[in-house]
Amino acid sequence: MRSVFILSLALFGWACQTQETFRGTEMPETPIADFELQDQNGRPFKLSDQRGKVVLFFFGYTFCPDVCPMTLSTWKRVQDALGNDVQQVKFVYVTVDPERDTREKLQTHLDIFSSDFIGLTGEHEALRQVYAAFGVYLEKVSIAASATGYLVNHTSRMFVVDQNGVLRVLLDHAAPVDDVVHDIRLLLRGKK
Amino acid sequence: MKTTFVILAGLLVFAGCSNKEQPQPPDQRARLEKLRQQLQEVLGEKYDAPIPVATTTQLTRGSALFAELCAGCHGARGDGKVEHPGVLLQQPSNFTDKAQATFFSEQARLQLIRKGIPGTAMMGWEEVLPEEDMLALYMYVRHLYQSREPNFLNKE
Repeated sequence: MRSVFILSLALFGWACQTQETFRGTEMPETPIADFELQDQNGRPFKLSDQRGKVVLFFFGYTFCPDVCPMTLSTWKRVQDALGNDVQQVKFVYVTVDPERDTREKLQTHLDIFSSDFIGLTGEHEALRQVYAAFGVYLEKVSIAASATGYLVNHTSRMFVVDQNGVLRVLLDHAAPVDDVVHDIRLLLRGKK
Repeated sequence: MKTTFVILAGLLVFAGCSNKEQPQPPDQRARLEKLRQQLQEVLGEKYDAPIPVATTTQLTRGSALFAELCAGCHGARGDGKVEHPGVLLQQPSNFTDKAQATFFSEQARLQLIRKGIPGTAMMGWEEVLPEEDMLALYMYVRHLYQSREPNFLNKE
């Protein structure tokens, strides 16, 4: 009788776990085509090298006056809240402004938040393919009479890619830290 | 029991009345003091040089730039209140607060717009904006505080 009770509890726990849903927007499982860009230290970064890790992507730029610094601040809190789980997670910031975002500038900017964040840039065509793979929109908007006097309107979602390189969840840039941590942990626990 | 209640109520009223200004955390205060010292060294004699009164055109331009570049972190009214408070790692400046608005000199604040504040989300705008736009931006930020001063209309 006792073992039946324990088995029932275990089954109930398993059922609850499998029914737990993402707090962000769950995507139809979309494999992201492999790509290679360069990080802020000039090292190659390939998506296929990240297998086994959950990867958060954000597309932004260092002169972004609003959503990008907010997202990076949220990431810093998420990083702290993950504890030991952070070893299984990567935070990747892809520039939408390769003209102004040099590797040095990416490094200086990301270091404000965390030296573990990865900043990616690359050739225009390589970047364009990555934007297309994630469905990222971007548009330059002039604000001053100079070649560098522009802002970039861009998609402001966080993209969560699972351990197999499959896009699984979209989160708003202003998503609460708890929600981001929750969805990452669901993926780390192997949610299908 | 009744006495305890009265004392507690008194303490609450006292706390509410005396809490007019939020003191800055000690580490942030020390950071700002250090930054002021660095700006004094960089600007030298120019540190205290006044910046002229703005024209209407400058204020209009500054207002438009503020909405585009600053409101995301400093709030649409420049009071540091944003849609998602507490998201940034450091509390952005409140430009309408007298103590914060006068902590640095005018030239120092313009310099912060040019160069940003290292180690914070406040970036420098000199690579993006021409000098006259940064000046207009500063004039608008100054206006946010000055326009709340008594007799502001008489002074302008």
